[in-house]
Amino acid sequence: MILEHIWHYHLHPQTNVVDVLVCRVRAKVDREFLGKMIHTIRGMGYVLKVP
Amino acid sequence: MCLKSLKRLRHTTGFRLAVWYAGLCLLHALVLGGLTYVLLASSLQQRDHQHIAMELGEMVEIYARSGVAGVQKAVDSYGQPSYFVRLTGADRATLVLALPAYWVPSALQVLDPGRVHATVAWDNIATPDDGNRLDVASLRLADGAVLQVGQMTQGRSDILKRFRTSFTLVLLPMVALSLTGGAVLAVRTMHPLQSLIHTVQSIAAGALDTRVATRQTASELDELGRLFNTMLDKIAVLIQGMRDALDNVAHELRTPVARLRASAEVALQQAEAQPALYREALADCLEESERLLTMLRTLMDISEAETGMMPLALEPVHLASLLAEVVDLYRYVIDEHQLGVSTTAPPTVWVSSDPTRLQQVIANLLDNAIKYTPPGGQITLTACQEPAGVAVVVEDTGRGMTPDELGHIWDRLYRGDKSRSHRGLGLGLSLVKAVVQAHHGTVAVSSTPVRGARFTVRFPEPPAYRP
Repeated sequence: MILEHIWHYHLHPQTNVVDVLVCRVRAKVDREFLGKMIHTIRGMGYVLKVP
Repeated sequence: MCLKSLKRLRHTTGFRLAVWYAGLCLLHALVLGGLTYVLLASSLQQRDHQHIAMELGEMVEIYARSGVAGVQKAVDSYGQPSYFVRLTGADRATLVLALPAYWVPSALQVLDPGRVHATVAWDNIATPDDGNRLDVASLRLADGAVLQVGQMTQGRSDILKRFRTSFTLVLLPMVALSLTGGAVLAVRTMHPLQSLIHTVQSIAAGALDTRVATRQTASELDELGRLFNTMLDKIAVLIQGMRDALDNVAHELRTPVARLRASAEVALQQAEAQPALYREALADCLEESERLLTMLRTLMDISEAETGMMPLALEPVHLASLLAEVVDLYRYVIDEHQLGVSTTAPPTVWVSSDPTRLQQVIANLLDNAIKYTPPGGQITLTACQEPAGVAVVVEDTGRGMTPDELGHIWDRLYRGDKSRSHRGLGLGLSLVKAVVQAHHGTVAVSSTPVRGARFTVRFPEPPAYRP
């Protein structure tokens, strides 16, 4: 979904591009804090929530 | 039964063709024969008339020189007269009369000297008994006397009669010949159509791989047969493609669907105690079905591309930008795998393609290279202008492929990594090949085990794009 919206990849290869990217973002946003803001919802995607 | 098949034969194109051919041949012969007959008859008549006119001229001269006595003397010198000669005075009294042996007395009544003028008049009198004819020339002389000279046209009618007889004799074999010719023509012409009909019949009866027997000629009917075969081959490829896709899908769908079912079962049996298990099971189901959907979508895409049904929005694509975009998308993944990547693309290289599809092709090749290259490896993307078109090369320093693997990498759902430790469906390269071929391009691979693999995509030269 994220892949389609941002990169217009309508038919993407089975890739972990997004996972890796979110991993990077998470490292920047959440690493220093106890209350995490980026959460994974399995089977759906990711959500940004105030702890 | 025999009558019925005869009746059916009457309506076949072959029969009609034969009859038309024979009919036209005969008509031709008849017209030609008739024309020859008329020409022959008229030239023979002309010859006879010439003879009579000469005799008449002689008589006129004798009459002018020596009068009635001279004519009488000339006639008497014939002995047995071969010409009919009559000199009639202005008072309609017969002055001189010579009758050949064949002459018919009744003919004299027809030849009335009273209606003769100062120009030569011709009479053609039928004899009542044997069908011979008499030609008579009549001329009124200056003093009012009428001179008539005639001859039987026996020789003429003999020749014409012989012509008629021989023409009839020639006509009989001619009928046979034209009928045979018509039949041969019909059989030869209808042969390719017959074999086409037989082919269609056996295909309708279930022998789907029957093909029309064709000869290498420029005939339209042979061309039709060849085109028909091409069409059948194309249809066979389409059907085979559908069958293969269906087989593979059925085989490949079993595992995920079984997993879906297992997840649901587990949730129903055990989750009552731990509600968190519900969430877990539903998430499993969602992931599994997402995977299934992707697989189905990709399979349908491959089928579409392979059968030429994929809609392609062709436009000039700037390769350097497109490669940079794809590499950018994979940048973090490449970093994570600790790989080096380098892109070489002259800014002048353009290619006519569907940009989304081309991106998909490059992304799949890059994804593949990342998957099979160990940390520290190098991936090189190169685009270049070639004499025959544009080439894009994706090269890695990964584990490469054995010759056996090389033979299978384009197969649907084949995965080089037997342990299935990487994520993937085994559809990426099939899709690459199908999409490139839908663009009328080619894709080739070369590889040395352990040292790496090299994929080369070539697109044919489009009309030069220099926007």
